Amino acid sequence: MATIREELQAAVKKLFDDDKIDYFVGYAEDYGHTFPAILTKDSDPSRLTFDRKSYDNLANFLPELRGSRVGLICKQCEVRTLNVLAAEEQVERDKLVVVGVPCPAMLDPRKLTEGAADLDSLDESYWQEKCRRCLERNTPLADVFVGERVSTPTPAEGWPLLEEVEKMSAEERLAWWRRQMSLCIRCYACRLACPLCYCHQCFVEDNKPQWIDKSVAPENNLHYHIIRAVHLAGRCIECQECSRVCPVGIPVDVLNNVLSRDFAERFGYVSGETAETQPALTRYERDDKEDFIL
Amino acid sequence: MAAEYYRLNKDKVGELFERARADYDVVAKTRDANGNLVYGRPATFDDVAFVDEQPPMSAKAFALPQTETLVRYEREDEKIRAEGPEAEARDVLLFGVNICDAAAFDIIDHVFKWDYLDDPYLGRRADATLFALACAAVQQDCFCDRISYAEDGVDTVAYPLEGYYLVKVQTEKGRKLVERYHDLFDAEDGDAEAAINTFREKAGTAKKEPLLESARAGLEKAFEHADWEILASTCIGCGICTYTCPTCHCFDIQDEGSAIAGRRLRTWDHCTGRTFTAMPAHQPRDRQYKRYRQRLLHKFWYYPERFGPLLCTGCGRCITYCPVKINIKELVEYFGGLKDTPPGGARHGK
Ligand code: SF4
Ligand code: SF4
Ligand code: SF4
Ligand code: SF4
Ligand code: SF4
Repeated sequence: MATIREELQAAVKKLFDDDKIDYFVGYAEDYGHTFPAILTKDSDPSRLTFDRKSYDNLANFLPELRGSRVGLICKQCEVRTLNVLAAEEQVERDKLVVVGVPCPAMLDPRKLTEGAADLDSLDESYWQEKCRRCLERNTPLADVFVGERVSTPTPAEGWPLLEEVEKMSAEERLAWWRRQMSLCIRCYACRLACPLCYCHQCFVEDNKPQWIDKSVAPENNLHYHIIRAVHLAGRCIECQECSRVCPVGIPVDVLNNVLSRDFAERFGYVSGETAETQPALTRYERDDKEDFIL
Repeated sequence: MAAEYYRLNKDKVGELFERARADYDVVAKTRDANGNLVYGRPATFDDVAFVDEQPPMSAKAFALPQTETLVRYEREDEKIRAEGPEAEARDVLLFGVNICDAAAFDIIDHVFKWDYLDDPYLGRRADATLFALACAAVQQDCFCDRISYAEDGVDTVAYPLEGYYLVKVQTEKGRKLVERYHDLFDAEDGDAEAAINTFREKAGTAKKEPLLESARAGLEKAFEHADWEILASTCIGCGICTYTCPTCHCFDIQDEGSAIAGRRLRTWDHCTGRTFTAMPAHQPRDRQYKRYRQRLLHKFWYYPERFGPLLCTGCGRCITYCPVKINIKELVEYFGGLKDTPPGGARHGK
């Protein structure tokens, strides 16, 4: 039986041979890492892979390739992203070939110690939190599907880290966030790794008016994170890339999770759930709860 | 000065740390709120991580803080009062710093004393003593074995051998440190250099050919190489590579406050970002791959052309912490002609 790696490489080769795409965006394995790679027909596809360290949300690379025909590996995370991007008119779906995969659940890099045993056998305690809540492990709407379909476990309830933070008293919580924010180096990797932070001009870069001070200090850092979280309200698809990329280990997505959870609980709304899902803040339904509006 | 060698018993390190705190502002590795390793100011040796593991952030912030006030101003009627930079505590001792972090200071000194003398940086630098701890094993992505940077400016290096540290003293500042606490050090009478060589062979930090310096000629011909676009387009422009890097040193100057009172400050900045140099002029590199190319070529071509050493100590942080795992070593080898296969197999044209 062909491995997913072989099937994937054959599928990509076929897409190029049949002249269906100009670029393929997937994951390559080399020098001990799995990382995103953009391939052309002249590239060597033999390093393409899809494994439990295929972290990056590949939809993030679409703006760079706008105008070209692109083949894109899509896990559930990318599919939800594409749904939001399509609703916001940011993606040319007819130029995209969605390559579907069975997702084995991604491993949380912070839980992996060096030289960890066989990665395929690691259980739920090593997963990224998002994978416990995954809605569908096999890419829906795939134009091409590679590998054997897997079953999707019932999505887990709850938001463990968020709930832990919410258990704190207001003072403890503020102190906790201040401690986190004192670590932030304002590299903005959380924003740049986020496929939904696509604004050409971001408020952090404006200086007329200057929305936030450039100096790195806990209050300025917190200011940045709060504004960013609000800009993602009802849009964040919980891919956790913002947290994964943070070089100092700040669980950035907890802020976004507050809003996602509230949208889920109050409006039964899951961003990017289907291709028809409209952006939360542009929808209105007569039975929307209004109990929080003063 | 000619190098001198001493023995420091492993159980004396704590005492050295505690006593040094009376004379120096001691910076050492410790753990932050999230359990990550950082260079900080632990109050007791119990909080010190005297280990060779690298913290995500390099030690450069002690000479070049991420945010630094250059001048404060205040206006009263028609009079403007300005003062700065702020006076600082001096005589820092970087205790247990990695060699790749320690050696980086000599490399970036060139640019801070090149035409304009950068007093805040040079002041902190002149007053810092480096007490480095050699790595017993190479780290995840590092490649210091492939770069021949000078280490003789590192004041002291401690090599962890069986039962004791072999301490190599290379500068006057290093000698002063050892003299201050001389009762903790014993004379080393064996063949110290031979012991160091054996240690480095075993650790994997002995220099290996081909050194990355040899890629320069190839890089000088590779500026227009078609594959930059494909290999560096996954870069998201975050600047983690530059902020964690011990040798990146670019900064921005910003004002904060109002017309009545405020300050002028400098903060780190990075060439991989889309607004780099946009404030004084504009960002001349219109695509992300060009911004990444600037980073690589500055380190492996422009800087050595102007100042001699590569602007890199091979610490590997820019690989380990890069969200998309762009690998500067692999790219230098590929574009510099030391290697035929591009990382990940991506090519743009034939
Ligand atoms: S990635 Fe981390 S350090 Fe960088 S800006 Fe975001 S929270 Fe701050
Ligand atoms: S905010 Fe974080 S979790 Fe949400 S879509 Fe962006 S990167 Fe993903
Ligand atoms: S090379 Fe990596 S770390 Fe550096 S800016 Fe690009 S994505 Fe960020
Ligand atoms: S360029 Fe990368 S490997 Fe070289 S010193 Fe900087 S962070 Fe370390
Ligand atoms: S590589 Fe870029 S950020 Fe680093 S010193 Fe050079 S120009 Fe500055």
